[in-house]
Amino acid sequence: MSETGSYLTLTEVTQSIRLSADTVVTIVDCGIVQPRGEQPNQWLFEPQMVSLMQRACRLQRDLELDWPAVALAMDLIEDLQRLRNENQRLRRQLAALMELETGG
Amino acid sequence: MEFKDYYEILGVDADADGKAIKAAYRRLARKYHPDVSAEENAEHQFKEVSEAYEVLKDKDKRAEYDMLRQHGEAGAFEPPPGWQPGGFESDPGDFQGGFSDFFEQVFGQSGHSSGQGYSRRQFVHRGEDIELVMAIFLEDSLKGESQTISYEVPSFDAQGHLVRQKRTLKVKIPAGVIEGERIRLKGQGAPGIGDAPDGDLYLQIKFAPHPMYLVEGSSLTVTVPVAPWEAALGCKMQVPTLDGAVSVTVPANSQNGKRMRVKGKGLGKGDQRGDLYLVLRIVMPGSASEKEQALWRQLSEESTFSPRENWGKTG
Repeated sequence: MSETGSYLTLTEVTQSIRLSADTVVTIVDCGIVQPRGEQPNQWLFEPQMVSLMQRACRLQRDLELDWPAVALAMDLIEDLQRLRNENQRLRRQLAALMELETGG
Repeated sequence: MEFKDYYEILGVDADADGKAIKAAYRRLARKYHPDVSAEENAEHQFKEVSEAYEVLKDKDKRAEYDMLRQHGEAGAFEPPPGWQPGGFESDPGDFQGGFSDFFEQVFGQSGHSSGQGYSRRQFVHRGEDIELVMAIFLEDSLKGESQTISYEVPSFDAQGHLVRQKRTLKVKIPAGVIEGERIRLKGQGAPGIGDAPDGDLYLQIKFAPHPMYLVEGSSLTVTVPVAPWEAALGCKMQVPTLDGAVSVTVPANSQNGKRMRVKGKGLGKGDQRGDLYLVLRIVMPGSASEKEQALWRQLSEESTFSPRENWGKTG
C-alpha cells in the first residue's frame, strides 16, 4: 500500500516541476497558489497546487507574460471553468426536470 | 516527410522582421494555447506555432531554415545530401510529443534549452512524474476503498534503451475524495537515473457518471418524480442516498422544481460532508381511467386556481 495524499515541500516542488525556488516564491507572492506554512522552508503544497503551478509556468513561458498577468489569467481560467461546470450541471438538471434533450 | 512552412504557420511574410514574427507568435499562442483555448485541435496547433517560432525567432536557425526552404518546399521533404542536423538546443515545452520529425531532421534531436527554469532535466535526472486519471464510483468515494491500478513507467534497460515498464499498485483512495482532487503517490513515478530520486505518481479523481445523482463539488442532486396529488397533498417517501434510503416529507402544495435539502448525505468526509438536494418533478400520468377523469373534472369545477391570471399584466 502506498502513501497517499501527501503534501510537497518547496524542495520537492522545485525538483518535481523543475522550477527554481525563486520562481516558486514569485508564484506564491502573486497568490497563484497558497501553501500552508509561513516561511518558504515550512511551506507545504497540496498535490493540486503542483498542476496549477505547472499551468502558470506554461502560460508565463509560452505567452511571454509577466507574473501578475499570469495570476490574472489563472483567476479567469478558474472562473471560466467553474462557470462551465455550473452551466453543464444546470443544463443537466433542467433537462431532467423538463425532459428536454441535453444539448452538448 | 512533409516540409513545414514555418512562415505560413505563423502567417507572416518570408521577409518579416523579428518584431512581426514575435507579434504573430503571441497572437497565435493566445489563440491556441491549450490552457486557455477552446479551439478544436488546440494542442496540435499550438505545437506547430511554437515550433515555427522556435526556429524563426533565432537568427541562426532561421538562416539555416531559409536555405532549406529554397532547396525544396513543395511536397515531400528530404534533407539535401550531406545535411548535418545543426545540433541546436531547443525546448519543445512540456506538451506530449515534442516537436515534429521535420524539426528533428533539420535541427537535430531536440535537447533542452538552458532557458528559465526548464533546464535542469539534463543535469538532475529525477524520474518523471506520471499523471493518471482514476475513475471511481460515487459510492466508493465515501468508504476509503482500495483499488488496484496498472500503468507504465518509462525507464532504461541495461543497454540504456528506453523501455516501458508495467507497474501494478494497490492504492487506498482516501475516504471522502471529490472530483478533481489529486492524490500524490510519492516515488511511484518514473525511476530516477543514478542516485536521483524517483518521480511521483499523481492520480486525478474523476467520478464515473451516475445514473441518478448529479455531482457538484461535494453536493449531490437527485430529481424526484412525484404525482400531482402527492405535490398537492404532501406525502412521505423513501429516497435513496449513498448510505441507504432515508425518509423524507414533501410538504403540501409543493411546486414543480422545489428543492429540498437532506443534510450530510452528499460527498466528502466528516463535517466536510456535503448535502443531498432533492428536486421535485411533478409527473402527469400517461393516461387516465374514466373515473380518474371524472375526478380531475370535479377538481377543475371546484377549484378557483387560475395559473395564468398574471398574463398581460406588468412584471
